[in-house]
Amino acid sequence: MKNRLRVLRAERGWSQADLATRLEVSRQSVNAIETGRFDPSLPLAFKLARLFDTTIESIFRDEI
Amino acid sequence: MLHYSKNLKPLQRRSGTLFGTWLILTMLTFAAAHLAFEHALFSKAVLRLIELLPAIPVAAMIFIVGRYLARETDEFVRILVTQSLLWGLGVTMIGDIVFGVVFEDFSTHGLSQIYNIDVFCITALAALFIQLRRNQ
Repeated sequence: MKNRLRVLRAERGWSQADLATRLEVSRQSVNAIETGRFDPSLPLAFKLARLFDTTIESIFRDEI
Repeated sequence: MLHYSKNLKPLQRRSGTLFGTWLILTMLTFAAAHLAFEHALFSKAVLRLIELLPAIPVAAMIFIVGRYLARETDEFVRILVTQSLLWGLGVTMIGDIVFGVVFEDFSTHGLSQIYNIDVFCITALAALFIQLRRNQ
Protein backbone atom coordinates (compact mmCIF):
# COMPACT_ATOMS: atom_id res chain seq x y z
CA MET A 1 0.00 0.00 0.00
CA LYS A 2 1.35 3.43 -0.97
CA ASN A 3 0.87 6.51 1.14
CA ARG A 4 1.48 10.27 1.19
CA LEU A 5 2.59 10.37 4.78
CA ARG A 6 6.06 11.73 4.06
CA VAL A 7 4.61 14.54 1.92
CA LEU A 8 1.95 15.45 4.47
CA ARG A 9 4.51 15.42 7.23
CA ALA A 10 6.94 17.57 5.24
CA GLU A 11 4.18 20.10 4.49
CA ARG A 12 3.79 20.66 8.22
CA GLY A 13 7.53 20.68 8.85
CA TRP A 14 7.33 17.76 11.24
CA SER A 15 10.10 15.25 11.76
CA GLN A 16 9.34 11.53 12.04
CA ALA A 17 9.86 11.87 15.79
CA ASP A 18 7.33 14.76 15.95
CA LEU A 19 4.72 12.71 14.13
CA ALA A 20 5.49 9.67 16.29
CA THR A 21 4.92 11.73 19.44
CA ARG A 22 1.60 13.02 18.10
CA LEU A 23 0.51 9.48 17.20
CA GLU A 24 1.88 8.02 20.46
CA VAL A 25 3.90 5.42 18.57
CA SER A 26 7.63 4.85 18.06
CA ARG A 27 9.60 6.70 15.39
CA GLN A 28 10.34 3.31 13.86
CA SER A 29 6.61 2.82 13.32
CA VAL A 30 6.33 6.10 11.41
CA ASN A 31 9.36 5.20 9.32
CA ALA A 32 7.98 1.73 8.57
CA ILE A 33 4.62 3.17 7.48
CA GLU A 34 6.26 5.84 5.31
CA THR A 35 8.47 3.34 3.53
CA GLY A 36 5.56 0.93 3.00
CA ARG A 37 7.04 -1.85 5.11
CA PHE A 38 4.12 -1.73 7.50
CA ASP A 39 0.43 -1.04 6.92
CA PRO A 40 -1.19 0.52 9.98
CA SER A 41 -4.36 -0.83 11.57
CA LEU A 42 -7.64 1.01 11.04
CA PRO A 43 -7.49 2.82 14.41
CA LEU A 44 -4.02 4.15 13.60
CA ALA A 45 -5.07 5.05 10.05
CA PHE A 46 -8.03 7.01 11.46
CA LYS A 47 -5.71 8.70 13.93
CA LEU A 48 -3.46 9.76 11.04
CA ALA A 49 -6.42 11.05 9.06
CA ARG A 50 -7.65 13.09 12.03
CA LEU A 51 -4.17 14.46 12.66
CA PHE A 52 -3.77 15.64 9.07
CA ASP A 53 -7.43 16.70 8.91
CA THR A 54 -8.13 14.57 5.87
CA THR A 55 -9.54 11.16 4.91
CA ILE A 56 -7.83 7.80 5.05
CA GLU A 57 -8.25 7.42 1.29
CA SER A 58 -6.33 10.61 0.64
CA ILE A 59 -3.38 9.31 2.67
CA PHE A 60 -3.33 5.64 1.62
CA ARG A 61 -3.71 4.26 -1.86
CA ASP A 62 -4.17 0.61 -2.76
CA GLU A 63 -1.51 -0.55 -5.22
CA ILE A 64 -3.87 -2.89 -7.13
CA MET B 1 21.59 -1.90 22.35
CA LEU B 2 22.24 0.97 24.75
CA HIS B 3 20.73 3.39 22.25
CA TYR B 4 17.45 1.44 22.29
CA SER B 5 17.40 1.06 26.06
CA LYS B 6 17.47 4.87 26.40
CA ASN B 7 14.32 5.19 24.30
CA LEU B 8 12.26 2.61 26.15
CA LYS B 9 8.79 3.42 27.40
CA PRO B 10 8.10 2.72 31.11
CA LEU B 11 6.12 -0.42 30.16
CA GLN B 12 9.01 -1.73 28.05
CA ARG B 13 11.58 -0.91 30.71
CA ARG B 14 9.54 -2.52 33.48
CA SER B 15 8.78 -5.63 31.41
CA GLY B 16 12.44 -5.92 30.35
CA THR B 17 13.64 -5.67 33.94
CA LEU B 18 11.13 -8.24 35.17
CA PHE B 19 11.93 -10.56 32.26
CA GLY B 20 15.67 -10.28 32.94
CA THR B 21 15.18 -10.98 36.65
CA TRP B 22 13.11 -14.11 35.98
CA LEU B 23 15.58 -15.18 33.29
CA ILE B 24 18.40 -15.10 35.86
CA LEU B 25 16.19 -17.05 38.28
CA THR B 26 15.52 -19.60 35.52
CA MET B 27 19.24 -20.08 34.95
CA LEU B 28 19.90 -20.37 38.69
CA THR B 29 17.14 -22.93 39.24
CA PHE B 30 18.32 -24.92 36.22
CA ALA B 31 21.88 -24.84 37.54
CA ALA B 32 20.69 -25.82 41.03
CA ALA B 33 18.63 -28.69 39.66
CA HIS B 34 21.56 -29.84 37.52
CA LEU B 35 24.00 -29.74 40.46
CA ALA B 36 21.59 -31.45 42.84
CA PHE B 37 20.98 -34.21 40.29
CA GLU B 38 24.66 -34.60 39.35
CA HIS B 39 25.83 -34.98 42.92
CA ALA B 40 22.70 -36.76 44.19
CA LEU B 41 22.49 -34.31 47.05
CA PHE B 42 18.95 -35.19 48.10
CA SER B 43 16.51 -38.06 48.10
CA LYS B 44 14.83 -38.98 44.82
CA ALA B 45 11.54 -37.31 45.76
CA VAL B 46 13.25 -34.03 46.68
CA LEU B 47 15.33 -34.19 43.49
CA ARG B 48 12.13 -34.48 41.44
CA LEU B 49 10.76 -31.38 43.17
CA ILE B 50 13.99 -29.46 42.57
CA GLU B 51 13.88 -30.44 38.90
CA LEU B 52 10.42 -28.92 38.68
CA LEU B 53 11.59 -25.56 40.08
CA PRO B 54 12.67 -24.01 36.73
CA ALA B 55 9.07 -24.30 35.54
CA ILE B 56 8.10 -21.46 37.90
CA PRO B 57 10.37 -18.73 36.47
CA VAL B 58 9.68 -19.95 32.92
CA ALA B 59 5.93 -19.57 33.55
CA ALA B 60 6.58 -16.11 35.01
CA MET B 61 8.56 -15.10 31.90
CA ILE B 62 5.76 -16.24 29.61
CA PHE B 63 3.28 -14.30 31.75
CA ILE B 64 5.43 -11.13 31.59
CA VAL B 65 5.81 -11.33 27.81
CA GLY B 66 2.09 -12.00 27.38
CA ARG B 67 1.15 -9.07 29.60
CA TYR B 68 3.62 -6.81 27.78
CA LEU B 69 2.20 -7.76 24.37
CA ALA B 70 -1.34 -7.16 25.62
CA ARG B 71 -0.43 -3.70 26.94
CA GLU B 72 1.91 -2.53 24.15
CA THR B 73 0.03 0.19 22.28
CA ASP B 74 2.55 0.50 19.43
CA GLU B 75 1.34 -2.12 16.97
CA PHE B 76 4.52 -2.06 14.89
CA VAL B 77 6.73 -2.71 17.92
CA ARG B 78 4.29 -5.47 18.94
CA ILE B 79 4.79 -7.12 15.55
CA LEU B 80 8.59 -6.84 15.85
CA VAL B 81 8.55 -8.41 19.32
CA THR B 82 6.22 -11.21 18.18
CA GLN B 83 8.41 -11.95 15.17
CA SER B 84 11.50 -12.00 17.39
CA LEU B 85 9.82 -14.44 19.77
CA LEU B 86 8.97 -16.67 16.81
CA TRP B 87 12.61 -16.59 15.72
CA GLY B 88 13.62 -17.59 19.22
CA LEU B 89 11.07 -20.39 19.32
CA GLY B 90 11.98 -21.64 15.85
CA VAL B 91 15.74 -21.70 16.43
CA THR B 92 15.29 -23.40 19.82
CA MET B 93 13.01 -26.12 18.45
CA ILE B 94 15.14 -26.79 15.38
CA GLY B 95 18.26 -26.70 17.57
CA ASP B 96 16.66 -29.30 19.85
CA ILE B 97 15.86 -31.60 16.95
CA VAL B 98 19.35 -31.28 15.46
CA PHE B 99 20.96 -31.69 18.88
CA GLY B 100 18.83 -34.78 19.53
CA VAL B 101 19.82 -36.38 16.22
CA VAL B 102 23.53 -35.56 16.51
CA PHE B 103 24.15 -36.26 20.19
CA GLU B 104 21.60 -38.87 21.25
CA ASP B 105 24.12 -41.65 20.76
CA PHE B 106 26.54 -39.99 23.13
CA SER B 107 24.15 -40.34 26.08
CA THR B 108 23.70 -36.61 26.57
CA HIS B 109 19.94 -36.91 26.39
CA GLY B 110 18.27 -34.10 28.32
CA LEU B 111 21.27 -31.80 28.24
CA SER B 112 19.80 -29.59 25.52
CA GLN B 113 16.81 -28.84 27.75
CA ILE B 114 19.03 -26.85 30.10
CA TYR B 115 20.14 -24.57 27.29
CA ASN B 116 16.70 -24.12 25.69
CA ILE B 117 15.88 -20.97 27.59
CA ASP B 118 19.32 -19.47 26.88
CA VAL B 119 19.13 -20.23 23.16
CA PHE B 120 15.57 -18.91 23.02
CA CYS B 121 16.38 -15.64 24.81
CA ILE B 122 19.62 -14.99 22.93
CA THR B 123 18.00 -15.68 19.54
CA ALA B 124 14.89 -13.61 20.32
CA LEU B 125 16.98 -10.68 21.59
CA ALA B 126 19.31 -10.86 18.58
CA ALA B 127 16.32 -10.97 16.22
CA LEU B 128 14.75 -7.96 17.97
CA PHE B 129 18.02 -6.02 17.80
CA ILE B 130 18.41 -6.79 14.07
CA GLN B 131 14.80 -5.80 13.36
CA LEU B 132 15.18 -2.53 15.25
CA ARG B 133 18.38 -1.79 13.32
CA ARG B 134 16.65 -2.53 10.02
CA ASN B 135 13.82 -0.19 10.92
CA GLN B 136 15.91 2.71 12.18
